[in-house]
Amino acid sequence: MAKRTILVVDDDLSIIQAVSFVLKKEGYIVTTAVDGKEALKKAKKELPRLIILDIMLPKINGFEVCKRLKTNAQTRKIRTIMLTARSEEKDKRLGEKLGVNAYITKPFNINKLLSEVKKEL
Amino acid sequence: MKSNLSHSTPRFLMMGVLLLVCIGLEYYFHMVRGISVVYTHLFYIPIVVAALWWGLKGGLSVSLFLGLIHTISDIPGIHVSVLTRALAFVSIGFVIGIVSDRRKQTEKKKERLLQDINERVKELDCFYGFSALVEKADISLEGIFQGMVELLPTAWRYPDITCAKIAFEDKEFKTEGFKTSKWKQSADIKVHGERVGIIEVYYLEEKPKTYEGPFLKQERKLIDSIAERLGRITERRKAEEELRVSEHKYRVLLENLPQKIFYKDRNSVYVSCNENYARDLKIKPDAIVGKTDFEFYPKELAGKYKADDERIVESGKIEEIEEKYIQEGKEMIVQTVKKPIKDEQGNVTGILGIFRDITERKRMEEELRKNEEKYRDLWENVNDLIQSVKPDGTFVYVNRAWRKTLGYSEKEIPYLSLLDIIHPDSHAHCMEIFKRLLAGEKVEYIEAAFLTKDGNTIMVEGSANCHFVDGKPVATRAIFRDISEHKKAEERKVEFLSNVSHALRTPLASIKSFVEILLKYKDVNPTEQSEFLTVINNETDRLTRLINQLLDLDKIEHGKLKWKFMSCDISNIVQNAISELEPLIQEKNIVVNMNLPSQDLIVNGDKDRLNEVFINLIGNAIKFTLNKREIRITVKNKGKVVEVSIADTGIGIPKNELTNIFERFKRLDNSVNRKLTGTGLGLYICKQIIEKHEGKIWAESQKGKGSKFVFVLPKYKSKSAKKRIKPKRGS
Repeated sequence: MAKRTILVVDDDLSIIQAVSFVLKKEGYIVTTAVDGKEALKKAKKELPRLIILDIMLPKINGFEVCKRLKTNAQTRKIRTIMLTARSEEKDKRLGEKLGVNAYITKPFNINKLLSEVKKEL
Repeated sequence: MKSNLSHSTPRFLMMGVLLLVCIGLEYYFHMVRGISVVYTHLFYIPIVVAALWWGLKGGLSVSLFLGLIHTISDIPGIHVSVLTRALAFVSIGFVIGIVSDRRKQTEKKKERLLQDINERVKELDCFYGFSALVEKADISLEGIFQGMVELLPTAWRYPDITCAKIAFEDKEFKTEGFKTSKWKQSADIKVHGERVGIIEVYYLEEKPKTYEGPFLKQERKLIDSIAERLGRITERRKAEEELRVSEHKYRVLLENLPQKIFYKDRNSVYVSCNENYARDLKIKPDAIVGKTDFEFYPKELAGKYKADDERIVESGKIEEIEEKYIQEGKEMIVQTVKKPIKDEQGNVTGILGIFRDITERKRMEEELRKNEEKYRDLWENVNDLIQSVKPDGTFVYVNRAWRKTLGYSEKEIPYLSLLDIIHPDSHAHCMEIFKRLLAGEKVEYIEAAFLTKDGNTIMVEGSANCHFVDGKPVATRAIFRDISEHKKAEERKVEFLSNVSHALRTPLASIKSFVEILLKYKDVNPTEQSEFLTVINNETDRLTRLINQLLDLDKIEHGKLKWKFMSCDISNIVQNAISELEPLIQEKNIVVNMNLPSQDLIVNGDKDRLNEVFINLIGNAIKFTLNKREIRITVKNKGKVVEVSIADTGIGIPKNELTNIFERFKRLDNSVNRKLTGTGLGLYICKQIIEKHEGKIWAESQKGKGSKFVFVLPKYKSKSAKKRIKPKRGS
């Protein structure tokens, strides 16, 4: 298990491209997924330290992915940062309830994302 | 006594037999063997012993004496006749013996009888005392027990050394100086077969044993019989007490009812009545017995009452009679319920009547009715829901809008209750408001869920107050407005705004990220740099498109868009759209196959809007075409309509998504398509435009083989006919 591996999950490829670029620049190992199903598969297989997760994902939504990660002994300890265009309070509260470590709304500040990532790793 | 006699008879017989045996032995030894009488008489010794033993001294001594005399007198010349004489003597002795024995026995018997009579007298005295006790006018059960316990010793053989105790339930009744001892006699007191107490009699000194320890047989009988009687008395007393209590209970109930109650026999003669009824007639309740209505009411009214009674006795059915009469100058309205009372065979034996003054109630109802009627016309034509509800929850009035919204007919209203039309979730809330209203409060704002007859829920808001007559609540009135649609629209609006926010934020996020990357990292290589700038550019386009579409959408949905309907050739519009998209087609290196009809196909349409539809659909087809990089556009003449189809060779659309994709912000749940993200509004807008043209649009697809979007538009008609095609207003 690579200690600095981060899984980036988003269905918007340009977001994946941007986030991956930045993280790689900062020396992290990045792996990506474009839907919830793939995210769960990769999380179990590669056991990253952190997942940056969108909510509105095809197949399985981000909250559900989060819930499933928390109920699996292997993936329970993976840190999660929600990166989403859903800006409503109730979504933030739901994220808190599910135990996500940070909730960042799009559009976001790259430095803010990086500081949250550093905090978790 | 009889037993004593019969007891001794076998002894006499035995005695006789023994004597005969002795005489026989004497005869043999003396006469035949010649042994001296001195020896032969020794044979009599056992008989004397036996006689003494059996206590038959008198009879036996005589017979023995005579027997001896005969033997002594006959010693010299003994012959056969001696035996006969001896027998005669013995017999005489025997008879005398019996007689003397009898006399003794008779004397004993007399003595016993006397004693017995004495006991009986005591027993009788005791019972007499008992009866006297029970018959005392208002003696309590406790009084009876205490009296009885004092009477008990007098009936026993040795009153001076006798103690008695009666234990009953948790109480004990004792004689003075009561003590227990080991000489005890007792009997249980039972009520309905269950032991509730015990009678105990003690002798304080030892006395000779008789029937039961020192106690006589009669005393056993006596104690048992007293116990049984005490049991019976207790039973009866308790039953009487219960009856008295229950009678009192019903009497209290009856007397305190506001109704006037009477009971007549089948001939309309009063049997009884309650206080309230008697007060009206200005008599005491007891005084009514044996009287008839003719003694209290005017002849006419009494006659009517009598006729009512007769009818009820005849029919055996309960009747509710309402009547008006004048009392002390005031008009009274009373309601009488007359119920026939029947015996076990079902014969009517009397009539129970309940009289109620409903003057006040009727007056209030009348008042209410007049009041409601004043405004009824007005209310009936209001679009809001108006209801007037009595304090018992039944409806006085509901208006037409109410009936229509909740789905009830006017006939059903009287059978409805307030709770029938309120959604269970709102029951508690509404009942609380109802209580406040009846208490005189005016409730300015109520929001609740109602339930229609079909079980649908509708949301209402409104206000209510209560109408009072003489300080009493008569009916609550409420006016409600159905806000279900409003609520739903509000929910839709919130959802729409959230979707718009999401749709705007997504391209903005990409743009901002890449701009920040370019600002933060100066070492991005030129290839990457231009790649990032392209993304920024594309996302900006997407944002612009989205904003334009949102504006269009708003106009379409609110009917603000200006439509310029005119005759236009479909093929023309297709070609315009293709040329507009030419740069994109070239860039993607796509072959466009067009299958256009030879003749012009004219529709009545707005050129610009239809162009928008084509741009959207062809644009999608270009985006999604993957494999063969080919799209096919077909325009067909289908009689009254023109059919247009645009097919791509993409991955296709799952069947369950084919209708969804025309909804707002519905995009395919397929990650590959996301690479070519749209705004989520394009197909929705296309549908709005086509429908405005009275056309239809749908999608067909075979998974893996691409999708086909098809729409039909009605053809343009001659000028006169054209007017009939009235474009639908935007929904």
